[in-house]
Formats: sequence, C-alpha cells, structure tokens
Amino acid sequence: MTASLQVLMHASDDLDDSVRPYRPAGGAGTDHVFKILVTGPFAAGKTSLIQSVSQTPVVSTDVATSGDESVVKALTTVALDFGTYHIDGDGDGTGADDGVDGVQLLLFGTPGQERFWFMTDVLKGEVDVVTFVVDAEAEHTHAEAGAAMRALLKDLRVPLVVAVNRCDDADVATMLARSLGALACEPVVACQLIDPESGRDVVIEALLTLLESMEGPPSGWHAEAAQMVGAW
Amino acid sequence: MVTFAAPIPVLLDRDDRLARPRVTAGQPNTRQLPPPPPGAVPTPGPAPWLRGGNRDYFGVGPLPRDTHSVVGREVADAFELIWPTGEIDEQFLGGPLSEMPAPGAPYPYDDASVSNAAMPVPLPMTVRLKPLTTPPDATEPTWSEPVSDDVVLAIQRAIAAIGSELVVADEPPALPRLPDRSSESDFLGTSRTSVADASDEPAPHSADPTDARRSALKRLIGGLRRR
Repeated sequence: MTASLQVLMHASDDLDDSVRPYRPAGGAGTDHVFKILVTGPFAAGKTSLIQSVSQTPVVSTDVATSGDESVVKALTTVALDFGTYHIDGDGDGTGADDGVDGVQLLLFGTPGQERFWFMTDVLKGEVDVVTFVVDAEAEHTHAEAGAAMRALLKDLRVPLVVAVNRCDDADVATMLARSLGALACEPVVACQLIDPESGRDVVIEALLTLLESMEGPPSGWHAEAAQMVGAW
Repeated sequence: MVTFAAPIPVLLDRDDRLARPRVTAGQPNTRQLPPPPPGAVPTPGPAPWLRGGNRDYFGVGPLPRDTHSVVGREVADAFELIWPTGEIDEQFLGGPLSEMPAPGAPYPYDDASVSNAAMPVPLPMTVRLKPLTTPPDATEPTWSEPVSDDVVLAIQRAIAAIGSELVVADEPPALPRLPDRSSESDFLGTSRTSVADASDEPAPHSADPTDARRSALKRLIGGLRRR
C-alpha cells in the first residue's frame, strides 16, 4: 500500500497550479474552517454520513470490492471521502462584506479496511472533532472497531462522537458505544445513516460537542480524558 | 537679609572611619576588655572568626553581654557591615554564632555534592499537545498486496477534484432572518436546542480569535439545523 500513497503524493505534484492547493470557497470573510474526521470499520456508513451534509459532490475514492467484502457491498473507499459545507461570510446573501466571518466545514472520511488504516494517520492532522461510525448490526466488526477507536484517540486530544448506525434505540446505542471503549462523557447518537436527516443530526451533534469543548475551562470529555491519562 | 552659611562637607575615608579614634562621653575609647567582675561566669568569648576584629559595634565600647553573658550561644542580633564600595548596611539579623560555619568549611550545598537522583523529574508527556500527521514511512504496513490501477486512478481523481472548482461550495440560499430572541450571553446558559436561534444573528468580527471561532461554529450549527 505504500505504492498507492506514493502515487497520492506524486500525483499532487503533477497537478496544475490552478487546481492546487485546495482553497475554501466563499468571499473575503471565509476564514474559519472546521474539520471533522469520519472514521469507523468497513461498511459502517461513513460515506453516507458525509453525503448527507455535503453541499458539494462528495469526492470519493471508491473502487470495486473483492473477496468477502464484495458480499457486503460493491464499492468501498480506498483512500478518502471528502465533503464540504459552507456558510458565506456576509451572512445575508447580498455578497457585501458585513464584517462577518465565513465558515467552512470539511468532512474527511477514512477507509474502513484495516489495510488502509494508514490513511487515517494522514487525514487526522489538524482535525477538530472525530465522528466514529459503527454498524450496530455488524457485530463481527465491533471488537476491531473498539480497538481502532481507542488507538486513534490515544494521541488525539479532540472530542469524539460515536454514531451507531442502523440503530433506533438510544440506550442500545449507548451501551454499544461504551462496550467499544467510549467514555461516559462522549456523546452517542443512534442513527439511520441511510436517511440524510439522521446524518445531519450526527454532524450537528459533533459540532455541538466541539462547541462545548471550546466553552470555558476543561470539563466533560476534557476533564475525564485528562484524568485518565494524568496529563493535567 | 539673612544669609545662611552652608555647612562645609567633610569627606572622610571610609576606612579611616574604622581606625579613627572615637570619644564617647563617660567611656574611654578602648578595645581592651574590662576585667570581669569577681565571681562572674567565664564566657566562651568571641567566635574564632571574630577574634582580633573590631567588636566595637556601636562605637561605645564593648557591650555588657560581651563580658557578662550567661548564655552559651551569642546571638548576633545587629551589626554594621561596610562593603568595600563604601556602602554601609545596618542591622543585620544574625543567627546563633555557634551554628555559623567555620571559615574554609565546604559549602554544604555544593552542586558537585548533590546527586541528580534527588532532583525532581518531570512527568513524561503521555499525550501529544497537537495532532500530528505520521510520516508515511513510519506507518508502512506489512500488507504487501499489489496496488491495482483502479485504486491509483481513484486517488488521482480525488486529488484533482479536491483542487479543482468542483469542490467550490454552492452559494447558500438566502435564508430568512429569524427574530433575534437570544443574545450571546443567553445562549451559554441554555440548552442545545437554542443554538439555531442564537446563531441566526451573525456576529461581527471579534478581536478574540477564540470568540470569533466560537461564533462561527454557532453559525455553522444553526445553518445545518435550518437546512
């Protein structure tokens, strides 16, 4: 897989200057960018979550699955999914700069297969909040999902929201998230990501969790996580 | 007309101040200790580092405690220190003279005698302060499956799409302005359901980057709720 990563790096050098680097859309006031990392095991619903809120066509790296994975679904993400949501800077749609900052939400989805996990290390840089998606009915992925979640967050001091897909019971979703290793202060959302409205609620919950982490002194997940690692 | 004559300043050498004979009314200016009275308890006398020195602290001759002390330890409660520069420091509070270190004794807190094991060791940093992106070489997996062409093409398409105009966000529709029912301070004390209302009114540029970012995040949440 190192070869594909090298292709990723080298391909960016071959692009024209007009198409790189990525510049957020919007007027002069666009200067606030929030980044959500959507990760989780294979076929959990990560791409559907990003598609539910993205205003732009989701940039995906889907390829045909093979072997046992082809039984689950036909296409799978091999590098990343990328979606955006933008609010203009002027805030009134007139195009005039009223002194209000624009806001850009970037959603990065990771591949679910273990052999592509190195892409998570690439994509998690400068992330603001992590949304971990797990399929409630795919029990065979739960053990691996829990290990992956804690491994991801051990060196990331960012809020986490667990989205339990294909689940309508909040209590069941909470119990599943706790069994995976989610802290008691980390929000859990029961969702049906096949419905865009449900995916939007997950993203809102992630942003609310990020907002709470920005308010005031360390509390909630900050305090509990700090107590666990003894870093405060 | 009254004329005042300014006093003529007299410059005296500081060193001369020690050797200059002092005359105090009622007492001779002598450095000879008077003989102890009959029956007096002999005292240990001055400390070795003070023997031969000037003990006429106040220019009035030896103090009574110098000859009639009944305690074993002599406390240097006050003395005058004249620095080589000429500055005079007065009223030093001293400790028991018997506990003062002898001249030439090794400094008890010499750095060379302090073991590093006794020094406090900072706690190891178990959490990175900032998310880091692992270099690709450091995360090289053991998986050796050959990379297919469709994977390479998919990645190339993604890179091109991210950099191209395809990802430029659509113009958001002009949203109806809802009445401003909550202020910034009201939002902090309310539940999450009030985020949409609180973020309807866009906040102007804030001097504090954290406040501006927080305000932008509230607007983002409100925009998603109204979608």
